[in-house]
Amino acid sequence: MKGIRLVQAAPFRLALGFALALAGSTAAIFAYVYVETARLEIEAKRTYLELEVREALVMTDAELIDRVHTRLARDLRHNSVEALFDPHGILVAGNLASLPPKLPVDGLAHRLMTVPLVDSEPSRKEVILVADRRPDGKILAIGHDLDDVSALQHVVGIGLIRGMGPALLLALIFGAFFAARSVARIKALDRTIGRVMAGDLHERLPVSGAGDDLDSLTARINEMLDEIVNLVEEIRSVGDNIAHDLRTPLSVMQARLERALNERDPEALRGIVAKSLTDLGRTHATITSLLRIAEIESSRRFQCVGETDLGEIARDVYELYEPLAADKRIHFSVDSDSPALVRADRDMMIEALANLVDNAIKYTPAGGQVRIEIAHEADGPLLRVTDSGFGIPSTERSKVTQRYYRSDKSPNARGSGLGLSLVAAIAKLHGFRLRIADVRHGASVELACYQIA
Amino acid sequence: MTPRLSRPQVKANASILVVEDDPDMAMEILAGLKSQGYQPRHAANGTDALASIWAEAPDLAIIDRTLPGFDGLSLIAKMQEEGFHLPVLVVSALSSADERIRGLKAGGDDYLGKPFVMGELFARIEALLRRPTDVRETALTVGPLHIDLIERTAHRGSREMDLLPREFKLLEFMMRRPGQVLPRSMLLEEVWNYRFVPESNLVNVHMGRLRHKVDLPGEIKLIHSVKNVGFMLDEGN
Repeated sequence: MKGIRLVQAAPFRLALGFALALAGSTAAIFAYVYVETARLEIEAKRTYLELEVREALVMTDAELIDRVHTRLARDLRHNSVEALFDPHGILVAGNLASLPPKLPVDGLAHRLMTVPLVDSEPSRKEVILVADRRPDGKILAIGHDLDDVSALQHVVGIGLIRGMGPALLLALIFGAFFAARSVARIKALDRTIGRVMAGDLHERLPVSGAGDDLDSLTARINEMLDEIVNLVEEIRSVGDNIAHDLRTPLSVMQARLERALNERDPEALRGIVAKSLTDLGRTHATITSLLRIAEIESSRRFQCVGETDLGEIARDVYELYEPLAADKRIHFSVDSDSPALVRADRDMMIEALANLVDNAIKYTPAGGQVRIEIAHEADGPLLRVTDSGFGIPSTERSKVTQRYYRSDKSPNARGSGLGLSLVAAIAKLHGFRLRIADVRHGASVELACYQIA
Repeated sequence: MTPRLSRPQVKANASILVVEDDPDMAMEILAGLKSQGYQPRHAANGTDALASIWAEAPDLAIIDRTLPGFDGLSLIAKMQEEGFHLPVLVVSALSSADERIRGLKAGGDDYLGKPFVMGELFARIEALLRRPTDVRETALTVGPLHIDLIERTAHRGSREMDLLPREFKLLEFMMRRPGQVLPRSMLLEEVWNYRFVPESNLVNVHMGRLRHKVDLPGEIKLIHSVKNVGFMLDEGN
C-alpha cells in the first residue's frame, strides 16, 4: 500500500475514462454534422453553377460580357470566378488568366485545387468550376470557391473545443477531488492497519460517516478486530491459567519426588510414585480438555446437517450416568417425552449434556436430586439440568462459563474445571446459548438450542 | 503398573516395529514391549522403518504420527504401496478427533493419543494381534458364560443373568475378546460409540453393575480390573 498516487486511484481513473468517452462521442457528433453540412453545401453549389452556365450559353456576347463584369463587380469578397474565352482559349472577359488544362469543357461541375487567376485577383484555394462551349465556339467558365465551407469547418472546430474543453476539465477536477478524498481515506486506513499489524490490536479503523461501501467494509473490519481481540484475550488468560493449573501439580510432584530420593522405605517410595502418577494423569487430562475446547472453538467443519432429537440425547446421557448417580445415592431422572428436533451435531450435543450432568452429579451431595428436562420456549426447545447441589452464587454465574473456573464452594469435587467452558464452546459453535437459571436451592443450567434471529 | 497377561500371547514372540524419533520415548516403549514378551525393533525415521519392514517383516508396527523426513501417515501409505499389510497402531501427540480420523483414514488400524498409559498400549497391541471371534456367530461361550445373540439371553452355567441392553452389549464385546485387557477408552468407543472422555469414571460404574450380575458371591471372579487401564474377562479355569 506504499505510495498510492492520485492518478492510480480508482475514482480518478473512472473520471478519466468517463471524460475520454464523452470527448470521443462529442467529437463524433460534431464530425458528422460538419461532413453532412459541407456535403450539402457543395452539392447545392454544383447544381447552382451548372444551371447558371446552361442559362448563360444562350445569351448574346454583349449580354454575357456585361454579366461577367456585373458579377465580378458585385463580388466584393472575391469568391466568384467568371470568365469568357474565345475559341482559341484567349481571355475575352473575366478573372481567369487561362482555361485550366484539367478542367473538362462539359457543362458539369468539377473541383480544382488551384486555378490560374488574373494578376489583380487574390488567389483562391479550392474552387468548383463549370465550363461549357457556346454555339459560336467561345467557352464560358463559372466558378465559386469553398471559403464558406472552410468557414463552417472553423465554426464547428471552435464549437467543439469551447464546448468540450470545460466538460473535460470539470470531469478531471471532480475525478481528482474524489480520488484525493479516497486516497486520503485509504491512507488513513493504511496507517491504522500498520499500527494494528505492529501489535496495537485496540486501534480501530476510522469510519468517515459517509455511509458508503468503504464505510461498511471498514465497519466489518472493525468487528473482525473486536473478535480477534476477544480471541487473543482468551488465549492470554488461558495461557495464564495453564501456567497455574499445570505448574502447581508439577511443582508438587517435583517436591514429592525430591523427597523420594531420601526415602528408604520401599512401601513409602511406592506410594510416592503412585501419587505422582495420579497427578500426572490429572495434568494430562487437563491438557486434553484444553485441546478439545480449542478444537471445538476453531472448528469450521460443522456437520450438523441432520436433525437431532434432544429427547434421544437426554435418554442416552441418562443411561450413561444412571449407575453413577445410583452409586452416589442421588435421585436421577429424565423428562424427555416431548419430541424436540434441532439442527445440531449429535456427538457434540451428547458431549455437552454429559458434561452438564457430570457437573451436576459431582456437585450434588448424596441424597440429592439431579434432573434432565426438555422444555419448550417460544423460540425453540432447551435442555435443562437441575440439581440440588451447592448451587452457583449469582456473583459467580458469568464466570462459570469461562475457562478454568471452579467454584471454591465445592471442596470435595475434583475436576479439571473445564466442563462448562467446553459446553459453552459447543453452544457457541452451534449458535446456541448456555444460561444459568435462578433457582433457590441448587443449580439449574440451560442450553437453549435455537439461534436468535 | 504394567499388567501381566494371564494368557500366553496369541503368537509367541511377535515382532513389533517401533517407529519413534524421540529416543527416550522409544526406549520406554521398547523396554515395555520386551517385558511383555514381544520382540521389538526400533526405527527412528521412515526410511529406516521401510528398510526394517523389508528385511524383517514384523507382525505389527507402532508408528509415531510426526517423524523427521516423511511423516507417519506417508510411511503408512508407502507401506501399503509396497504391499505390506501388517496391522498399524498410530501413536501421536496430535490426539484431536480430526487427527484421529485422518490417522485411521490413512490406513492406521488403531490410534492412540499421547500421553498414554503403557498398559493401554499393550492392550491395543494385543487387540490388533488377535482377531475377535467371528462376528457372524449367533452364540458365544467363554468358560461358564454363554450368551445367545439372537434370543438376547445370557447364562452363567445354568443361572440366567438379567442384563440391560447396554450390559449385554458390554458383555458381548468382552466375550469376543477373552483374556484380553480392554482399556476403558476402548470400551467407551466401541460399546457406547462415544469419542469423548467423561470426567467421572463411568465405565467403572457400568462395569461394576455388570460384574454384580456376572460374579455372584462365592463364584469364581471372571471380570478382573486391570489397574490404570481397564478390564479383562477371564475364562475362570
